[in-house]
Amino acid sequence: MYRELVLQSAKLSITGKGMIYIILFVASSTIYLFMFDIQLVFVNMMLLSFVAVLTSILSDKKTLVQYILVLILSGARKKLILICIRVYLILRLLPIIIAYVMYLLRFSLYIIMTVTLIAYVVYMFSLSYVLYKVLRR
Amino acid sequence: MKRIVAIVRNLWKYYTMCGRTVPVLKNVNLYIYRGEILCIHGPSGAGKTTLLKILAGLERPDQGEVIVEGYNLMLLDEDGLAALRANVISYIPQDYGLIEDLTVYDNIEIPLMIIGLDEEERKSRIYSILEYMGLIGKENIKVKVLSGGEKQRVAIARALAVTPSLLLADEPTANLDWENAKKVLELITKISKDFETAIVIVSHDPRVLEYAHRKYVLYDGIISEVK
Repeated sequence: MYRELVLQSAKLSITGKGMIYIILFVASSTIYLFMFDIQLVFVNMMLLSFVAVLTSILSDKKTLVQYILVLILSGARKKLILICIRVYLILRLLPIIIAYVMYLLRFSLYIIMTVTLIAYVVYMFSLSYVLYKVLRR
Repeated sequence: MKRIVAIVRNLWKYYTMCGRTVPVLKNVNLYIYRGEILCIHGPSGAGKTTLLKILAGLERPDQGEVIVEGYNLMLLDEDGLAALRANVISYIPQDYGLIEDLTVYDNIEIPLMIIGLDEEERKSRIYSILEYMGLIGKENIKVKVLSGGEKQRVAIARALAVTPSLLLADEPTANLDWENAKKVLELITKISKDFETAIVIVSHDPRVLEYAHRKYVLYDGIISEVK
């Protein structure tokens, strides 16, 4: 049951139009990073990636809201709903993570990467919880 | 003797608006029998949707109790209510409660995934429900391209997929012209006969009352039966 719904969440996340924004952001930021090979650009890109992820989620807000409501109406447990939301959100980060890891392997800014990744995960977990709470109400 | 599916006893619900506590439902008492269509009619803001959401376990009352198929909803936690929604109660919201970016098949499949059916069982159940609803051939079409009447039928199919004892429909005809609304209401009548499902419809459209076995009026939070 969990596996199938997780796959459904992944499918929705990948096929959503917000994923196109993420891919475009990743492509442009990768080009930028390789052209202007300085740490400041990298840190700026990291910060901008938060905006990109938020934009991508907002552009698919309707689908995400419909998905959570259908899960609630169909009797999915809270734990399962939270897992589905997290899978949906985390998949939006994946292209960014891959691009930055590729870059960081060259410059060893592991600390920034780790801190950002932790911030991302906390951000997504809190966002999924807030979404569930707001829609459950 | 008709079997009771749900009992609502001395139900009160309050909302806080601008710092004031306003009662939305005032001492609502209701019995819902198996295989009947019960229509609750009333103007917008009368508390119809709130009552339906309480019956679905989506909201909790402030006083009183709701018993569905022997389960007291007040005594269940969030997961208990979810389990009841997965197996016993189906709720169709006014905006259909569908994922528009998914196909008809995928939408009907979600509740069946939640109750843990395997792929073969899901497939056979989905096709039998699609056939019953007259939706064969539309299974691979995305919901967003369907008409209002078709969306409503898909919403009913999603709700019916788990064969619930209690089906709750919030304004099922609100977004439809009368021709399509009649088709949906005829379908609901057929479902109540074929599956012996108790169906509660809330509507502000008085024409819906013709299709009900019992009729109630909800006005300003007070419910009364129409004889």
